[in-house]
Amino acid sequence: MTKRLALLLPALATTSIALAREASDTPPKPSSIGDPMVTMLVIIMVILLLIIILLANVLIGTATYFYEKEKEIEAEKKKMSLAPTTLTIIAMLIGFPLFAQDAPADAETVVVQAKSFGALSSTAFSFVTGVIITELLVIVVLLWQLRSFLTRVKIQNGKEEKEKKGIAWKAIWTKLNSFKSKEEEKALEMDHEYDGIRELDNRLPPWWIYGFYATIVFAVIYLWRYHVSESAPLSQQEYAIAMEKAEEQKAAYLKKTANNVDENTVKLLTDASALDAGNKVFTQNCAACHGKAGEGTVGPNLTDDYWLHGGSIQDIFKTVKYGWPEKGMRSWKEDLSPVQIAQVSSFIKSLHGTNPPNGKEKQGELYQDNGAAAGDSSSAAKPDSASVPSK
Amino acid sequence: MQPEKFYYDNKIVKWFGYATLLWGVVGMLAGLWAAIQIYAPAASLNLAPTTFGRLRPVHTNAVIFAFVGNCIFTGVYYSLQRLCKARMFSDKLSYIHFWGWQGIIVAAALTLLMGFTTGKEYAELEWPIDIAITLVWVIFGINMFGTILKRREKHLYVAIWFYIATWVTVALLHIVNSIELPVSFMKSYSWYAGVQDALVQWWYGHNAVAFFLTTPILGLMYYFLPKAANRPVYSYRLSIIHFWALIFIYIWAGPHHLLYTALPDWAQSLGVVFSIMLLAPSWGGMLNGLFTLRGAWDKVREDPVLKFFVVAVTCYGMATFEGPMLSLKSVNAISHFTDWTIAHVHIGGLGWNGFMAFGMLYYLIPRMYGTQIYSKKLANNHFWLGTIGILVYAIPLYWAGFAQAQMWKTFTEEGQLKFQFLETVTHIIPMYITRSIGGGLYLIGAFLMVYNLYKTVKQGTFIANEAAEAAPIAKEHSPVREYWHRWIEKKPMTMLVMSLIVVAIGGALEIIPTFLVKSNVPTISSVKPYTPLELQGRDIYVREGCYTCHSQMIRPFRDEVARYGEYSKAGEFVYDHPFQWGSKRTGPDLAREGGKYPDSWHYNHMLDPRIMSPGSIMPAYPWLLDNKIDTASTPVKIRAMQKMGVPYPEGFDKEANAALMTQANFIKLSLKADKIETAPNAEIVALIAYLQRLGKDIKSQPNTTVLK
Repeated sequence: MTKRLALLLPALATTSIALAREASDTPPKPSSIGDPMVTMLVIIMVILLLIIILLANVLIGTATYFYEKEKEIEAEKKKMSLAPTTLTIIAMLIGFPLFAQDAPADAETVVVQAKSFGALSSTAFSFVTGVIITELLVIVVLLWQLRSFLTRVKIQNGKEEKEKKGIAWKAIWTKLNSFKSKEEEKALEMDHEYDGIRELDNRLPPWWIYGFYATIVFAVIYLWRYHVSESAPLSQQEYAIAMEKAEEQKAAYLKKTANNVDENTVKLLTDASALDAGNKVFTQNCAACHGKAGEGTVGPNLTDDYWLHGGSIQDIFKTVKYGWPEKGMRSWKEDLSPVQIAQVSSFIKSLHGTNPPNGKEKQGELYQDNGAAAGDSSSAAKPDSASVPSK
Repeated sequence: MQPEKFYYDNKIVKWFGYATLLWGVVGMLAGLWAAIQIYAPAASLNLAPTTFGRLRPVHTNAVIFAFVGNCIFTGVYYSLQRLCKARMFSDKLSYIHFWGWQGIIVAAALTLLMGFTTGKEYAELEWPIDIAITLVWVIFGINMFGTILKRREKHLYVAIWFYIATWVTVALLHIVNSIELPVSFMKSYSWYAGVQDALVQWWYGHNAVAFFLTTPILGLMYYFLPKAANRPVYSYRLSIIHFWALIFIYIWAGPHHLLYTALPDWAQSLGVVFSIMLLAPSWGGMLNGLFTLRGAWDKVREDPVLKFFVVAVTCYGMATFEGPMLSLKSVNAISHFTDWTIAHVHIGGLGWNGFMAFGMLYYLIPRMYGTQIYSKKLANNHFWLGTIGILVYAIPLYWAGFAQAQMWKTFTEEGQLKFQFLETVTHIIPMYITRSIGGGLYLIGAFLMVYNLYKTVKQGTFIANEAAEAAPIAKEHSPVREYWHRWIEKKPMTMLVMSLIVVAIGGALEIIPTFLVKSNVPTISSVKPYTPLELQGRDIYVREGCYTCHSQMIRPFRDEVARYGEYSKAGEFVYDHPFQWGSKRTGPDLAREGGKYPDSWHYNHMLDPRIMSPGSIMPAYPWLLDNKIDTASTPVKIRAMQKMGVPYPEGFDKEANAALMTQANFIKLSLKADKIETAPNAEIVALIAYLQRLGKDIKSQPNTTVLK
């Protein structure tokens, strides 16, 4: 059994490496590289899955046979040890179909991912290898189970008394680690002791050593993909991909909503709900520097007639959105949505003339809304904002 | 051959054991205090020495080098004598080692609280203490090798292999990472800068975990666990393979602390793959420990010592499984800079190191006093308090780390960051509170142990010199064919050299190319050295331990670029001696803090952070407003920088203070414009100058979108 596993792993490794090499021959465009690889991996997964289903069927058959037999014997023995075995068998009957269901689901998600990304991301890659390794493990477990069943049947056919009472789990555990029994321990003991500490020379647990090999194979494939075939994105490429995707999503969203205001299209909002929302944004973000009532502390007074960067709704929107970093006003466009900026700008406009206590002295140039209330004063405001030199 | 009679020295073991208890409690108290400050900033008492930035290094240094360090020495001095069938090489050296190490600990605690720090995590101690550590470590080495050389046992047991590898690797790590240029008695600059400093530091930092918290403790496990269980070690060949594989692979894994940073990609990838390959060798130790207990599990139910060992080894297995997973880039993108890492290290620290130390002390003290443990029940209570404490500590922090990372990364549909940084902090405060409760439970358990062991000591009589008998090593007559590894087990010096070679390979192959190959750190022409005022401000930043909560490394992620600005480039850090990338973001990243807020914002924020950002958990730094900049040190600092290749013009050291005052007056005026009066030579002015400089150099290339 372990030999079979030993054969499988290098085989897996070589195919993957071969795949990676194949990938490296194609032109270095990340989207097209992964595809043959993805298909191959999915094929491997499906084949393994078929093997699992086949084995599970065989095992279920054996188990049912064993179960009938057991029932006959137990009928005579009056329920001596029925419970544990039945439980194991039931557990297995339930368990394996579950496994079988899990795996195709996994495979499907991978296919979907492969479609949506074109190539495998590193997460998808580790996911796929994870699925394959899990499938291999399931196969190993199935084969072991099958063998232990067969030996059991053999024993029962021969001398029934010799049947071990050990629970299936314990047997799997023992085999997985290739444990030796206590009687065999003497033979393993080494001929030395240190301050009374003796040492055995047990074999390495097979799963441990093959796991070790698997991590080494992983390391080779990983380095190959990132630095030789260059089929996996390094940090900065990953960043570029993420930003591109974000831009697409954002554009798609803004297209279908009315949220798409900017400094050219913004209108003064006057309804109470919008001003309330603006007030909230103001308290959370602006009050620290401009005072709770906009009277100005670190930042300038927002209630008087004087503005450093223009007092029209468009200018305020622009100031909030991009900031004036060299004057200490930061940009808020990553924190606030366009609508929120419009709301808070409108709220700031509504503070005009409230004349709160401790108002900071005037800064900047006199600004007056020409016309009535609406902020259509762009023509008047433009030269105003332009007159402030941007250092 | 005639057996010889000799005596084991138990006294030195006893002293190291007591020191372990003392520093364990002190280190945990410091940790608890720091943990409380995170949700109750007033617990810093508004005093410089007790703020989080200074207390946290005290906690980490105390638990690593004082608690675990003394635990290692306790175990080594006990087991080495018995495994070598010899008394320690020299009692005098034993005591020089003991008092030297305790002196270093006291000096470390005092200087860290006073703000003397190099600013490099787990290597914060300043150069005079670094030299003292080197000397005491050499003394320990002489004493250990002296004992090994006069042993009466031909072969070295696996525990001793681990001790040897530990000794030689810690020496290498400490010396290479501590290369620094002193500018005064308690101030030095790291010789390395920026990316290179980061790589050396995390090669050191990661392997401090490997060779101070892991390999020596594995050595202790190999002695005390089979002793306590009275079972043979499971597999000799497993111990050979996992020992050599562990020390070879461990040393490579340091760069996994720097994933997605400005470290070159090839080094990051090496860090990832070696971390993955580290899984099996680490688990080899766990398996050999747990499988040794086969056939002794009935004893585990009875014996508190074994209970501690079992949980310790299990925690070791969990932490070393989690470690490789955290090294995968996709996982690291979530876990790094969050409390996830804190939870991870405390599974190792509280579970593996703490429980191994407790188990060992419960085993040793009664034996050295010829008695039984005073109360098994109390020890069992300690075990349960500790175990529950670990869970209550770790689970909330895992949750906090994961939740905060998700919040950082969440965007609204419009493409804005959904949460302000502060919101993500206040969200996890309940988890911080729960964590400190877990830590408190663990500490109460430790107090139970102190009481229990005190009572044990009282009821027994100390056996200072334990009699033993063994024959000296016989001369080999006919060379018998033996297993190949048995040969090296007879040659301690060969083992030392082999270990050194094995560990040197990984470090050398990663560090040397990063220094020599220029393309690894592409230069940026607009990046200029710090002005004298900024340099002084930077030293204040380092002194206050700002790096314990603030990173200076924007990773190339959409959310970080949106939140903090353009991601950090390797060329931006070429004048950073030491680098200050940090490893935890309790507060926001500061890599591009320059110009984000006005000078007066920073002034008020340092006076009381909650004025400017309500709900902030940052401590207040009122003393910065009163303290004066140490201008006398400016010329010597400039000269030190020049020596390390920072291109200040020739003779600049003489003009430095004039330049400093000019810039300081400028900031004074800008503060005055916002109605703040300050002396131009107040420390706050220097700190503001530094903060306003951060990350600005590459911004000076005109930004088209903002200023059309």
